[in-house]
Amino acid sequence: MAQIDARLFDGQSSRPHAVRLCAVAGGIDLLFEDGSGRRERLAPAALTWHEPLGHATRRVDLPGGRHCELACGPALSDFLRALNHRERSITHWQGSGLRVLVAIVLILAVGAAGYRWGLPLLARGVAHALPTAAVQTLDAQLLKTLDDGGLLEPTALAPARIAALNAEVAPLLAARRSTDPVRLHFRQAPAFGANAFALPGGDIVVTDALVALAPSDAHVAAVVAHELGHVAHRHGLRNLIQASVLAAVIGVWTGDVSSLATVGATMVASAAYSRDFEREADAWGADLLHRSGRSPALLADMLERLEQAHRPGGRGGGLSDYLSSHPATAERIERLNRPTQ
Amino acid sequence: MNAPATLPAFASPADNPDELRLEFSGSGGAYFKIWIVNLLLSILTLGIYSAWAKVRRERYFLGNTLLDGSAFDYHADPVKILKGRLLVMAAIVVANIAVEFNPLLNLVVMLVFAVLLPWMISRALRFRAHNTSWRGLRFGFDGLAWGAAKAWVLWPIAGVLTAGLLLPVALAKQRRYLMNHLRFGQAPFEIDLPVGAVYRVFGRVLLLSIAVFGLLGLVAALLIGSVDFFAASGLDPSSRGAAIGLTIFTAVVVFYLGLALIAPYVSAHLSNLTFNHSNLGEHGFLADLAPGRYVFIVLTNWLLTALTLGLYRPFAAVRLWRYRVEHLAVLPAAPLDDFVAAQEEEARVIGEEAADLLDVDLGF
Repeated sequence: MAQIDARLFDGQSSRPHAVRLCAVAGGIDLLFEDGSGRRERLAPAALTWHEPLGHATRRVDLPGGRHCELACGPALSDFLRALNHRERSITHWQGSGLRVLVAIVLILAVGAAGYRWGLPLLARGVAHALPTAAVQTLDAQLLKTLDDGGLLEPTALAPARIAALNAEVAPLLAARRSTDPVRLHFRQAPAFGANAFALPGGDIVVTDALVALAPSDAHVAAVVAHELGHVAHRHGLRNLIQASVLAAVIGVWTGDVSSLATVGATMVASAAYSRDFEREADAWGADLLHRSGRSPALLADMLERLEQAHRPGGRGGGLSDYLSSHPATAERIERLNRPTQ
Repeated sequence: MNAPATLPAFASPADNPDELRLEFSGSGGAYFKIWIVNLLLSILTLGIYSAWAKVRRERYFLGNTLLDGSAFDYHADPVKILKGRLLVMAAIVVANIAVEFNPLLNLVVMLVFAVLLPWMISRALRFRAHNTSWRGLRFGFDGLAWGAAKAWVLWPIAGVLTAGLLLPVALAKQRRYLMNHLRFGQAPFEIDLPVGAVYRVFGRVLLLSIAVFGLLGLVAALLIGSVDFFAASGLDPSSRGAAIGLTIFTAVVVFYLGLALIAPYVSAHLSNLTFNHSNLGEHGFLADLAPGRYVFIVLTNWLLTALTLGLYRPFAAVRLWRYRVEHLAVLPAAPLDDFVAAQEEEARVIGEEAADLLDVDLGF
């Protein structure tokens, strides 16, 4: 007959009572060892065994708000075997090294799939579901922040030059399959060098240095075509969503929210996404140029010039983030120069 | 890790020990298995399981914490935790989006948060205490939001307005709030924490941080000096921008390192002060954390967690908890048999989850 010593607590006071649990046919006998010889018969179903999370003691709840504390060890294992007690499946999972290994592999697989496919899909869905008006409000805020912060300064280009550039870009805007408004902004930005970037809601900023670098206005328009690709795909917004989710996940995983490690890891993890975006924008821009009767080679030419301008020691300098997050420029140029069908 | 096959004898009033040290019977390896399964299920259920995971985590830590041979236990209902988590998540998402579109709302959100924070703190403490038990008796907490508002909002504001001069008072008020409203069964915890002792801790922090920041500043100055030297010698004209960037980067790193050293140092001292000035009915406490050792554990935990890309986290959590638990003892005036249960009331969960997300140190 399997039996085991235990401490019983009545739920009303912290005083322990010495008891002995005996597995008998049809249930469990609770034997009070205080000399009174009191004995109680319990049905197995009346006992609730707590999960064996502790190494030292195990708890079992009895009827009447009482519970027993039992020492872990061979005696308890024998007793549970005599009761035909079955542990829950999660206990088995935690106990087995192989299953823990399976869990690790599964986490890595789910994490990798979520990073590669899940998050981009989610970001695309959310970005396209947001109303254009709301995103444009966001743009206005961003542009104001950049202007007020001194990162962007008023352009030094003559009004006539700006009008000419706008006229050069106008056919491209018309050739789009979308009527979403696009606003072209020219700014001086020493920190960005020769550069152009698109904000989520359709505001495109072109720096004076880029205009100076371009051999013709058609070259500037080719870069704008690439940026229009970013706008059409809502890359700015998708980037924002992806980076926010990544930051949240990394922050929770590493346990430190809004600290250096999270920001750094998020930037590294986002880099792969932005390379995909550049390829998408290139393809979209090349298609647009093609449809409006221009050559995608203009964009390829500009990429080459931009790379040279941003190369260390070359003119331009400053924060060369335009290229660092872009895929290997040679590969992109080759892709753009490839004859289209 | 070998537990005795039988529990120690009960009826031994004669050998009432001078001190009952808390023990921890868990291990990093065992908790790693629980943690990884929790993580997997949380991911697969898109976070819904995290409420159940939290209960299992708490039960592992409390269930392996032993006082006088008996383990603590945690009884929270995962569904209540889930509800609280969803509510807090929704609030944070809404607040973040609102701020993104109109910065003016930032101020409103901060104000609302300042008003809600004390309420969430008192709720969190109540939920946690009511769901923790030892020998079948629940703990309890009856502090109100107004008390938390004074300790966590008003006194810290006074601390900032006086350039930190009243900050130790704020910390003392927080500890008093934590202890004076806590009870075990019907027995109340009491604390008599003199503010002077907290000021002495901060005096030490001041002296230490002058030394540490001075040293780190010196190293940083040497680093930047060398970069400036190269820039000046005309090797690479564009590295002046890099030098400025490096200066800012170093300043931020020094600041974080300083905080990383000071926060656990103060925390260890405050834990000692709190328990050594507290009593539960006629029983006293003894806490003897070594602040230097505590800082070392926190820092090496950080480092190892970063090096293992987070996989060391469960080991780190066990290591720190074990150190805290094993340096705490009850000084019993009599056998711990005479505590009596209080009438229970339901505790709500929302605040606890908010505190969990926003990482408010509950200090217990």
